[in-house]
Amino acid sequence: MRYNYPLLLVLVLAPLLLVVTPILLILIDFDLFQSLRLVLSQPGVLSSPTRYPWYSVAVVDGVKYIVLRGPMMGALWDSLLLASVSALTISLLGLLASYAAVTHHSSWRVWLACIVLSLPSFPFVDALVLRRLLDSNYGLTSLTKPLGFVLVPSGFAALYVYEVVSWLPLLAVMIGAYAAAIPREEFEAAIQLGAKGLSLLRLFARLVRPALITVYVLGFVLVLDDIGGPYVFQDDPFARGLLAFRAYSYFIESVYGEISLMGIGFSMLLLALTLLTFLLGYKWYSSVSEALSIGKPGTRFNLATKWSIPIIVIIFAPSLIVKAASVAYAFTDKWVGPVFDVGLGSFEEFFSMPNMVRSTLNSSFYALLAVSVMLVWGIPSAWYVARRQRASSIIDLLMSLPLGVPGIVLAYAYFFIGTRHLPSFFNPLNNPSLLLIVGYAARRLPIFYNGLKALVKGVPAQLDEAVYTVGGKTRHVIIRIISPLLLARTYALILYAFYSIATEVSLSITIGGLAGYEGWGHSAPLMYLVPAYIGFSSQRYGGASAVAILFTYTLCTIVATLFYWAISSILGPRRRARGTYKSV
Amino acid sequence: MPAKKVALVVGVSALVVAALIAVYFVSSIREGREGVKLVIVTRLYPEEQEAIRKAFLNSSIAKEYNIIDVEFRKEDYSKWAELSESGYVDGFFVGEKYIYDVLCSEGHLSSFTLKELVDAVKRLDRRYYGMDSRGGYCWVAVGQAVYGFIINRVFLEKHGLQEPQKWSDLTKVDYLKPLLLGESTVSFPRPTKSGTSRTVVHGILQKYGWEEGWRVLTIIAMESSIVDSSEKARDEAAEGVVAVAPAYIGYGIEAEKAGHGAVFKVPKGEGILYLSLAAVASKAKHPKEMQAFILWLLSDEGQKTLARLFYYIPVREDVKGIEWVERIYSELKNNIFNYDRELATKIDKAVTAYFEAALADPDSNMLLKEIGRELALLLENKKIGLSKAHEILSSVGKLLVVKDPWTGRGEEFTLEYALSINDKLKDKEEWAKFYNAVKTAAIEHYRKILDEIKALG
Repeated sequence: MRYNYPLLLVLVLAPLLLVVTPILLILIDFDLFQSLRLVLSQPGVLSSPTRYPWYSVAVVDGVKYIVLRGPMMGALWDSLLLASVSALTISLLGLLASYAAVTHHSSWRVWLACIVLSLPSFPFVDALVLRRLLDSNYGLTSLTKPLGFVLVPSGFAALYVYEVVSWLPLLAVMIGAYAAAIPREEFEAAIQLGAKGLSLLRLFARLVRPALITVYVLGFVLVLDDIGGPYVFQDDPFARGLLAFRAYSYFIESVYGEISLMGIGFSMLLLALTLLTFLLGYKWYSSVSEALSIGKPGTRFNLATKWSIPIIVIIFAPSLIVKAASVAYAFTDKWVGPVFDVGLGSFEEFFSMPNMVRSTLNSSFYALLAVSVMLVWGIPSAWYVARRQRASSIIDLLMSLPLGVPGIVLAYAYFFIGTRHLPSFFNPLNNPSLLLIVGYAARRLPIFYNGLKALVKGVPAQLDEAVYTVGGKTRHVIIRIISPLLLARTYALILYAFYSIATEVSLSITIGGLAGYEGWGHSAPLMYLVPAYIGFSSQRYGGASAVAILFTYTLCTIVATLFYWAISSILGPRRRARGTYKSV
Repeated sequence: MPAKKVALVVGVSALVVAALIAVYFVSSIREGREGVKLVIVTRLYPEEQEAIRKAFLNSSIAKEYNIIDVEFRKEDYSKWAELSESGYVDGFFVGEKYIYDVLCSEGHLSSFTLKELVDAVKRLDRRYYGMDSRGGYCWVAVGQAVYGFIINRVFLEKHGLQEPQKWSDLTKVDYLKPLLLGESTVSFPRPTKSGTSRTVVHGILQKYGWEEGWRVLTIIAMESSIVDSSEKARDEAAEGVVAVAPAYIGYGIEAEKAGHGAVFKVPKGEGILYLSLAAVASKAKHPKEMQAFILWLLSDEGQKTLARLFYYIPVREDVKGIEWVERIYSELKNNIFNYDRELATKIDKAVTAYFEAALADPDSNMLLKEIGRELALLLENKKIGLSKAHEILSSVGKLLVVKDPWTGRGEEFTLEYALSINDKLKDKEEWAKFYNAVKTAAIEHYRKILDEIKALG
């Protein structure tokens, strides 16, 4: 075993400098105790004064309106309950869908198709669409009127539906990918012993337990950190009371002045909750990360029943409907109430807005640079940890840590160091680009890095040794051996990284537009303009926002493909790399 | 792949990337190259910004002062003072007079120095400009318009409700009925976020008197979904998600155009004329050019553009030729009351803090909704009569007794008390303390009433 102390130092320092230090600086500069005291002493944070019924029924014109609200227990408990119930639902639905998927090749293909179609995210637009679909007057929920009843989700219930529909596709991938790699033997033995139905499902759940726990933990953190849903549902007191939305509101109010202690308090409370949850689930997350290779041929049990495919379709139907409606929204002239005028008006609107078009270019450009940073940062880290070198567990933890840091907390931290501790070039009020690129890279690195790590593990360590034997250095191993072999299989990973960076919400909505977002020359990302314009007029700009997101996905696909092609050509012939990989 | 091909691929890729980066950065710095780009903080929304930007950039004044672009930024009022001092912005356009008065009195505005502008301001009526302590002009009104409300008839019809004629009509118990379906009758923006909301709140307090005004506001808040902007309120009323939303005439007409049952009305005798102002930031990079922009707003062309785009009445009496605007406003003449801006300025911090804590805060507002819903249920089940319901509503909206965060004594939130604490609330931490005190009192009060109502059921 060779020790690479300089590399170790760089790999430890990078996450410490870019993620941990900015947050620590806030803790040093502000009176954390005082800010938490202010937050926790505010009425309504630890307990709710209202006992509003969870549900109620009203009859209008012979139709029963069943208003589902859910509980209100205080900002802290509401946020925790929403996160935990949503995460639990996502885990269970993901489990069921994956179980149905691995039973047969055909159901696996349906599962994969559902995932691919529902995975692209349309932040803010999908919340807007969901709101309309849930409208009791003209939405999908009103279709039950002839049956004499209408379900009206609001408050907790509406946010719960939104969070599950939004995060299910992304998180279900993890369970499915993990399930595809589980050993067949135990399962087959159980079948031979006569296990079927629920007992098989229980066994399956036991086998994919690490993935289930991981999905629960990540779902919990993602929902707790979500701003998009509460932003669109803000007219409901429940949504405005959630911790992430409160932290966001205080951030927006203190951009040009003194940073609010209440804002710091809410952010740190959020950070404590997500970090604690993440650290508790880290053991399972770490073990699951290696199975993240979608589409890889894996375990199929030939158990398909007539229910397998319908179950998968039903589970993903809400997400698919919302995504389809979000795409369809782009092809409307306007959508007001029940009126849905098909046309290209939204495209015209989008292309008549130079600042919106510019923001799509900005986001694609930031994604390009952030992915470059992620590759430079991620490949050495993945190699180092995969080869289990000294302190690799610490590096693994540090690389995964951003998953447990809410975006709004990172926004506070970057805003704080950008305005107070760094040269004016880094000040987000002048130029948010640099902080955005670094922040995007840091936030999206964990999943990217874990994908790379799984791939490195597939490369025999003897190849490294061969390089050292002929006098090569670690840099030769990483550049000449590992990178070409990895790049041969990272197109999907790179593409996903582009998409997820271009649609990142928390950093974009906070620091993204601080230097302005008008005209052609601005530096704001798309996810700053979309909520801003939806806020100005959802009727006028909802369709144009959907077009902007579609346009960004198209741009990102082109740029990511060119980028992949270019780096593959530079770092090593793709074919040869693929051939080497296969022969190895 | 042969080495030559690799070199070709690398070369082409590098060229493409370099070209993209060059185009990106060149386009980013394009504006700063040959002339002045003004950065103006505003409350206009993007479409309005673009319309005024185009009109101004085509003007002879823009060319004379070499102004090649204007960037408008729609920012919360809470940021305006710091923005003025930041050096990032040149001035302000549109927004409440109160905000400009505060900015002026705290030294966040530069007084006008451009001779043509000073001369133009001198010719205006005294109510159309503000002066700083040194006698300089620190803001000027460039137009005026009217606040009213958007009413959605589709929503009203669905719930069998009558069209409100005045704000106080919304205190009728009928308007609580939508709460039973999880809906809200009104969409009301937070006054700290919206100038429309701020003015309407002050307007209701002045029109109905302090105590009755708070009663009306409390019941309206009970029926309202509280939102962060007047644009969101406008959209909800335009779409029929709610029946009523406060709006200025421009947004009202915008909502009508959506074609889903929305109409703009001026509440009978409760219309408020507001001034639309402009000023120069204290640390403006381009103070002369910002003044040139204001000069254009006051020119014949600028006044007509504002009338055409935003339904503004000119502040210059000698500007003619926009009869249709004059006709609209002559019809409104009897619906407008004399809104006291000076009083609003003196108590604004206290009023908005009280509104935010007692009526708009998620917990307070949810409790109000719970009371409203329980009342609607009791009425529907005929367990109480109308008079009892109105009696309860009256008690909900009575002035709260707040534990004063500075003395610890219980103080009723009277007009005198609001006047006495207003200045203290300029400090963010003091504001937060007062907010918590009001919220605590509100929750206690509402819970007590809720218990009484539940006992009736």
